[in-house]
Amino acid sequence: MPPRGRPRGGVRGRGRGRGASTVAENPAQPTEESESSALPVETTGTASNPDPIGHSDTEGGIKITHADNSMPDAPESQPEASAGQPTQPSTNPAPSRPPVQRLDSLKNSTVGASRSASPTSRGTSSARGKKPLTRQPVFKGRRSKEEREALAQETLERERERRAEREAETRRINRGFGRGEWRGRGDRGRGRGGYMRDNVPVSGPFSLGRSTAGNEASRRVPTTSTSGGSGSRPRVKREMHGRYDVEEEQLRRSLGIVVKQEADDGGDISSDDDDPMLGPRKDIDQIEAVDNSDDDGEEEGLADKRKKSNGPPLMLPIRIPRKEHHERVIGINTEASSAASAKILKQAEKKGDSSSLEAIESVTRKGKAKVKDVEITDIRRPYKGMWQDPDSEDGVIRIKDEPVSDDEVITVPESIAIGAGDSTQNEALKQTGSSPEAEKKPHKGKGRQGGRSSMYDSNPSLQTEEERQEWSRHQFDLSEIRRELGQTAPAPATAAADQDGDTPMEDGEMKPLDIKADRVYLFQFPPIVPDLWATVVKKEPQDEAAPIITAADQTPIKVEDGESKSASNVSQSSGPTLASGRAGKLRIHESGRATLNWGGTSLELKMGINPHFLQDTVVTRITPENQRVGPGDEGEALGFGQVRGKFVVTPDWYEIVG
Amino acid sequence: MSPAAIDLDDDDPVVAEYDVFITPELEEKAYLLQYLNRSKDQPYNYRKQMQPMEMRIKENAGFIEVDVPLNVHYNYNRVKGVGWGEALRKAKDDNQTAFGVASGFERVNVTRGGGAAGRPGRSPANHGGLDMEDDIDDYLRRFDDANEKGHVLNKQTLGGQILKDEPGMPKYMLGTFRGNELHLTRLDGIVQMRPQFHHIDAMAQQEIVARRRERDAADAPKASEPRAVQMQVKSADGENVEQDSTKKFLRAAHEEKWTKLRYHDEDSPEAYALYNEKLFVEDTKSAPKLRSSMNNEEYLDAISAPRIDPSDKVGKKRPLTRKQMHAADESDESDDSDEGPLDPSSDPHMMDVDQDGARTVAKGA
Repeated sequence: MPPRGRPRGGVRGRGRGRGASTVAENPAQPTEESESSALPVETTGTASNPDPIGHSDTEGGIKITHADNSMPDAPESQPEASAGQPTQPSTNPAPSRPPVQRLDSLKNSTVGASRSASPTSRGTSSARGKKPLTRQPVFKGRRSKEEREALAQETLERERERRAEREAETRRINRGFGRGEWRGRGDRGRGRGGYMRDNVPVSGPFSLGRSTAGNEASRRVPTTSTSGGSGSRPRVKREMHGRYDVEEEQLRRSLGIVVKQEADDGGDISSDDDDPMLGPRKDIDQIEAVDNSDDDGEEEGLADKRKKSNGPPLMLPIRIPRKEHHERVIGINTEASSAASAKILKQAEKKGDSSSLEAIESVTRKGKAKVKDVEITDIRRPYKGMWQDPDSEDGVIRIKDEPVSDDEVITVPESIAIGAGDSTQNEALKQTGSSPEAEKKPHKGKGRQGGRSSMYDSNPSLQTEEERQEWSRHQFDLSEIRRELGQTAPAPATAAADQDGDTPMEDGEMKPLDIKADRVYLFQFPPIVPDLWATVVKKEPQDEAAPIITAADQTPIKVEDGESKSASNVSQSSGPTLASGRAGKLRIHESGRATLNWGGTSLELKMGINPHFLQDTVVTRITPENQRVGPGDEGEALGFGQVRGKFVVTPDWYEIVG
Repeated sequence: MSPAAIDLDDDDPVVAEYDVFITPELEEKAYLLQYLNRSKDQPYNYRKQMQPMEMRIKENAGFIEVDVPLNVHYNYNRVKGVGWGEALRKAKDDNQTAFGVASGFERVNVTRGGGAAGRPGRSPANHGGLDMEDDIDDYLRRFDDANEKGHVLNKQTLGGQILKDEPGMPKYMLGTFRGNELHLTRLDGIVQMRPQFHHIDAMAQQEIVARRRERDAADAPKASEPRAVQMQVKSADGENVEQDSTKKFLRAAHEEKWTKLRYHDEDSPEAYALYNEKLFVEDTKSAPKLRSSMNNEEYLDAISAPRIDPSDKVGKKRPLTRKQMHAADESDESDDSDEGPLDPSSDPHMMDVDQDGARTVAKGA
């Protein structure tokens, strides 16, 4: 059989083309094209050969034809989407092309079809050695037109159903207001339906959404349609297949291009080394060991998988990212270090949504599979923006605004007390109008607050890289607190907040959208927490943040008798006795420092660790035995959603000790 | 004031202020479930189509288990799945509903001999491995059908022990925000939810059962009751208290039945209703004002290691007040006042209070 010998040459060429495609996609092409032009004539004959053996070649030819045709279009397309997308637009011109060119394309299968070509080439290569036998059982000859049509119809139907389903799902999901996700990650907009629905209407072959939709559809294919006639569907094939949107499919069919599609399937069939049991081929970096999580099908799994780029996939070995080693730098130059730390801080902040960065990176690197990440960040960004996105201002201001030289301050608090004196007074003046405790601040404010501010806000002289990192972590935590809790002040009011420290609190209540609403946070208190007792005295004028001096005037006796009880309690009982009521105030400062007035004791709030595993809160209500109606009435468990954040409450050392 | 000026002068203004409330104690219990093997991107909820199917709790023994659905069509080994599913189902028929530590590691004593008669419907399937394998083949062939009928392991069980507050350990509270209010609710326990391998236990148990049945078929049942009695005698002799308590604990775990809880998803109206009802102080206006049992000085003392000053004749644990420390610091730099910079601006009032406080602390301690 003469054709057999020829394909061999073709195979080789194709193989080469593939290799090239992975490295340099488009550039590789012209050279190969010229080189391969010698072969076409022979193969033309093959292409028309209807018998099964030759057929695979034909398919290869055809398929690659559109890969080739796509070339003109492909270069504009994003490189990362190379695998399948470009093939689409090409379909129309395809028939008009002379066969020679098709064969060229065989060799250069490269660009758009880098992967789509692979099955064919594999098929042929097997033909070379082992002959067609391998192929035969699967492939039963060309499908009749009716079959094809029925197939197309079926796909269409399925697609329609699926879409309806998806939309219904999205609607349902959107109705339920998710509480759950951790900040930064907040995926309220990222719900399952979110991007999937978005993708469907997107048209245009190069739209990112399309490729994801294609993925979805394609991945779903194997489970839903076994009727397709092709048992093994290597991923690329399916991508091409899936990429057909409904309309496009119709268009194609009307243009009689279904043949092309079928050719794709044929190509599939010919790939004999893909055991149908193995399922779709995957990028090895994306393989999950066993993802049992999805209930709804592969799409969910995919989405989740894609999301995993955010954090380490759980239950899997984690590859430790390679980091370039930096020499330990010791510097005394605070200016430089501050700049550096600012940079680090920014990086750290970015890390909060590092997935975006990574996503972009990986998109360029890994291609289509990661494209969805881009989608995700697109959605997330505006969301973050809703809470006034302090990224930009926070870091910069904090570090910039301390002109005080830090070293001296720490050792000689008085010096700064003088310097800071007018500032505190200023603040006091500002606050007098609204809050009663403002009057008290200046009392003790000078030394302590001056000292504190220096400890807190000034840029310390950071000597080593580690210190700098720690500092940036600290700053990042502060900014997180500020971002999360500081937003009782609505975004537009921040300017006002700057001028008058009080305004934001009033505005806070009116804020229409509160990310904190309906969420649950976890607060970790120290092992020893002062008990809280309800006071009978009504006339407590204030919640004073620093009660030592001021509270002493008014409530020495009360403190005492509360204390005598507690002295025994605290040490022995497993937990503090906390009465219900108004405990005090939580104040978020501009810097991100958060103080908690615990009924007079000064505590401080800091960011807790942000684990990457899931933490849910649940409240159980067990029906008392005698009230149970039936076996199903033993009780209820109500999910309150994911813990959105964790805060650690510590003693406020600057108040207590300072 | 221009922004720049604020940058320079402002002493960290307050940008947000929350009123903090403590909610009354719940009759319900609030738990934190930590799914250590689950990424937070994949919550178990309705939105993700991963709503837990069932939640069980042994409140007294302190165990919680959750069944979450498993996709049996993706990355799923059907042969194993059917095998385990069947084993679990049979174990359930044998009234073994819990495995592992949550059941005190005890197996239900499967009725031998009479057992098959008691459940005539199942007896053929239990008799030989052959029949069972046939069954499994059958289920595999009609997999979806078998799945619906509960022959397939289509859920994953996660469970753990409830960790309650312990002295010396951090206390946890749930915080919920509403406008500018922060409401804190006591957390009753933290549970680390790990995969439970009940299906494997069930499989093992089924094997044991099958073996025993075979033996029973071969010869008359040789009861092991005497041995059980002996065990009891031993434990009565039990000198080892620790072992005893463990045994007690396991027995309690075994004896307590699971309380099955209907699970409401976090987005369900019920959950919202309860959230708003229970995690907030109802009437914030008339909420009593709370006062801490300690002021800062006392608190510092409470969290510090007991201070023993041999030179202090009055009281061993009497803490130094700030002023005393200051004085001590001035007179002797090597004093043990390592508490940091001292505030020279204390006023006489403070002194009194501190001493009072200190005295009471000493009394109490």
